Amino acid sequence: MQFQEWAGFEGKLWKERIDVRDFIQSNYHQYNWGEDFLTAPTERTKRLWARCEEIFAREREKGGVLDIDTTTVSTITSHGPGFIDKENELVVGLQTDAPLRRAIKPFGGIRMVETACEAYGYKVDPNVLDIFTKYRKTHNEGVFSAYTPDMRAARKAGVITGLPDAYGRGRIIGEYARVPLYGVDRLIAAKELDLDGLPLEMNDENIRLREEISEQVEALSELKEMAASYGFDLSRPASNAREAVQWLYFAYLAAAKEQDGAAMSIGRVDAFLDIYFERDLASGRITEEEVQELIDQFVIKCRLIKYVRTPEYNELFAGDPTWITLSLGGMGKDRRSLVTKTSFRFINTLKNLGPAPEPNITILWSQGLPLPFKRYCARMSIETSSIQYENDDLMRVCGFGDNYAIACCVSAMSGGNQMQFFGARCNLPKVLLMSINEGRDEIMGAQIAPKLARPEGEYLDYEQVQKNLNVMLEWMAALYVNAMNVIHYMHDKYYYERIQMALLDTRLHRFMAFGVAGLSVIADSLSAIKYAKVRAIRDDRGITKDFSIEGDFPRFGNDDDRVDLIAKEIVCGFIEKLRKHRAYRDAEHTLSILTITSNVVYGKKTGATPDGRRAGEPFAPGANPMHERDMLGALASLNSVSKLPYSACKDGISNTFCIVPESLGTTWEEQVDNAFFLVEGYFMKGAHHLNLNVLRREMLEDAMEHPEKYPNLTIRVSGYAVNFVKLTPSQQREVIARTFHAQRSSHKKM
Amino acid sequence: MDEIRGRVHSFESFGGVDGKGIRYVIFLQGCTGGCLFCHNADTWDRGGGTEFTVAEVMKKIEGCRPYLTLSNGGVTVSGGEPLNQPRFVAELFRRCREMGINTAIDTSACGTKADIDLVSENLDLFLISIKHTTDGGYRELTALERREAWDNIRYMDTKGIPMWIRFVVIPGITDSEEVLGGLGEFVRSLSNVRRIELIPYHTLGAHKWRGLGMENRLEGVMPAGDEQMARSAGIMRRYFSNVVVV
Repeated sequence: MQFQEWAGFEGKLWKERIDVRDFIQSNYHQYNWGEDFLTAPTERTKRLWARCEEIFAREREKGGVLDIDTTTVSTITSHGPGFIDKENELVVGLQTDAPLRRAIKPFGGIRMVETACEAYGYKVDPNVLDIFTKYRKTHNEGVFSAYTPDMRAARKAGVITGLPDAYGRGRIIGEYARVPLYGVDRLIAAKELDLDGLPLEMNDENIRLREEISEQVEALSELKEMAASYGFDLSRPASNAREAVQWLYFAYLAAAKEQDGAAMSIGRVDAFLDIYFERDLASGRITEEEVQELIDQFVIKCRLIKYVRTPEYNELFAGDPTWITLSLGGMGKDRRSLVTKTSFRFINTLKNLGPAPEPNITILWSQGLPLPFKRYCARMSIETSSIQYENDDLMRVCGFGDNYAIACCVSAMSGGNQMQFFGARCNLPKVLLMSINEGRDEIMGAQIAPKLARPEGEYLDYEQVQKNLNVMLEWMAALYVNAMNVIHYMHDKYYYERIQMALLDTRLHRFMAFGVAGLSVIADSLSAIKYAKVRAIRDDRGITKDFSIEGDFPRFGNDDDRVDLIAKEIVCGFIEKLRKHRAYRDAEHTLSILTITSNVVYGKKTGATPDGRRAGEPFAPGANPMHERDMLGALASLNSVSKLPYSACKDGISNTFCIVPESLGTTWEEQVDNAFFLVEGYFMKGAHHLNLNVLRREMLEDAMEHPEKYPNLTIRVSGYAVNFVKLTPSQQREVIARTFHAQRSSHKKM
Repeated sequence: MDEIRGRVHSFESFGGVDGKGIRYVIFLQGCTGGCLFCHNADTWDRGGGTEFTVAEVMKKIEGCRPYLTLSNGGVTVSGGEPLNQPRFVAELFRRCREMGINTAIDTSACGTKADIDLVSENLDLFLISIKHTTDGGYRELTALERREAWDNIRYMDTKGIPMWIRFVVIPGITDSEEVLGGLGEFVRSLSNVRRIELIPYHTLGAHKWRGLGMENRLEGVMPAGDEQMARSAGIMRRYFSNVVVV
């Protein structure tokens, strides 16, 4: 196969089959130098972005949602073309016919759409309601028609929360680069070949696959149709830099129009796009300013992607995030760095357009990356607090290869041949409380889990509690896997990701991604029971309402094995228990330690715990030590987290870290150096993820008081970044209560 | 030797401002310096803090080694006054040197020559706080004797170990041409000074003084602003090139 659009491209394999990785490896240009080549935004970009900022301001004034189209059910082709500012807009395409006009997607669940619209003063069109209540079943209804009473009870008690049973599951990254590289017709041909090759025995699996591939082909045709409405012909490959960016964006846009997933990430496109830029730069068809303009405008488009969400959703995942996670850098298997000039150009958007949560800039960090790039990242982290880091050396060798990307916050998956079934998280401190409370929920008092004997004795006995906890976790694991199986069966059935799956291989590896919340709370609680004397104080129902603690105990976050290993055992034990139960479509079980911002809501729904945490108090986010319990400074805190094994938590271990700028170093150069060494050292210790915030608490307090002064203040929370002023007050207070690592020194710092 | 115990106020596993690179900082308990601008007055009491053996401290440092090595950082003993616990410091540094970890001490240079000999056996960097340039100035601001401190600093200088001088700029007290000039002359007379850090006086530590029930005799003195710092740095640079404003 040969297209004229491929002129100048090297390599063989990728021309014969769909293989973006091979194309990248055969053609990309390593860039090992500094950021000096970067350029400022063009006048066009400035005008376009100014227009966007006006629209964002109007959205804020209207309470967070500018407009909702309540009559049109969103599909790839549902809306006619929409523009922000035609004259200055280089990369076109919007989810609807106007910027920030949000679309409804009732296939995941009509109730969710209705509630969300009502929360912002909109009413869903009666015809749409009619169709989705009378004639068309949704994913949400499907799930609830199959849930068992146990599952409903566990869900209600909040022991598992955030399940994608009422909206899109997300976390699938279509290999969007396929569209510019091959053009849609070639992709359709490949899928049709796959369909022809399927076994002819019509069992459940084969019938389902046939139907899925047919849907995929249909979606690809719709993608062409959508692009044609903007005047572009996507049937053929992209022939130049601008088309490559435009084609890629259209592919992503189709997914964002069709699906409602909580986290639909864009993947790893830096080296891919760079190849097109280099080709056009070499032939003088484009200038550096124009390349940066394309990237800036592509990023503007990412920042405009929006969904209709309910207020409850915002409590879990605050700040209207979309997790358009953009993975940059990383190393190839052949030890060549995949950092290109385009990796820099994407980060440069934080300067050209100002910091913002989207796209969620994620550096795939390796010991082998070029030093100037790493220093540039460190510098931009200090300036913007908008970058997260993930350990490429770890992920590359743990089965993800060198063409993976991050979905959502910390979930790696190999480009084009892996996907995941997303599955929220289980509230570990609640499970611990249930094992002290005979299987009852400590808030509602209801018997959620099998009845267990109450631990005897005046003080909680570590062995007894451990034994009960083990039984509880076995029960939890079984229920959790089964609930997930129901959810993903129904999602495939009622809200299949046609376009995203069309941009993945037909035969692929599936993960089922489980999660835990409150790890540091349960670890500290068990440590308290083991090393101090903990007495349970029970109410008249016999349920614990508080705990009295005599003596001291080691706390997670101080590099103390006595408690750090407890945390490690919990995650290792839990993934083992999950693996005992077969996952839908033979998915591989994985586990994340990630809360997004749900650590606040989880804490609200959880009674007092044996570590001294009061009822309702937020958990620490992700795998973080509890607020202000890490007393030995930043490295001791990081060391505790780095002991959690990635092999047990292949869906990611999130650590959100705050440091005061002056503590990083005395001079600017030293601050940049030390930030860089901090990340490098953390990953050398085998850790997985770091959200690096370099800020002062006083600034956040001021932003709480005077949000109008900080419309663009971006901070990293748990695997993503948010506009601080978009958080709820309780979330803001929790962020401020976190440990801000500030060094005490002989003269200056406290 | 591992059984030598030290009185520790606190640990800071990530020190970015007490020497080169990332430092594991050990704040020792106990100081008789009595500096009026001290922000860690809670480290003064010699009976406070917690006892640790050298081995226990080394274990904590061990976990942070990759960071220290990568960044060409190391261990800094601060305080409190490290010269008050010379045997502990000396043994700690001996163990660090064995493991190839860089060492620094943050001191006001008040102690005996024998103490200085002990701590400098395996030392890579002196961080030396100079408080003022006159006898009267020292007496006004501290419980230390200038002559003794400066004699000690000259003695430290004979060791051939690099030194960083740290000086707090207190408006109206240590920021005059005369005082800064005196400091410059002194620094010029030394052979191993590599850097001067000018530290702006600020009032954030005042609450500690109140908390400890002590009278704050600098009450009412304004913090040093950027302009004052730039001016002070300008004066210092006439005498020494590498002046850093903290």
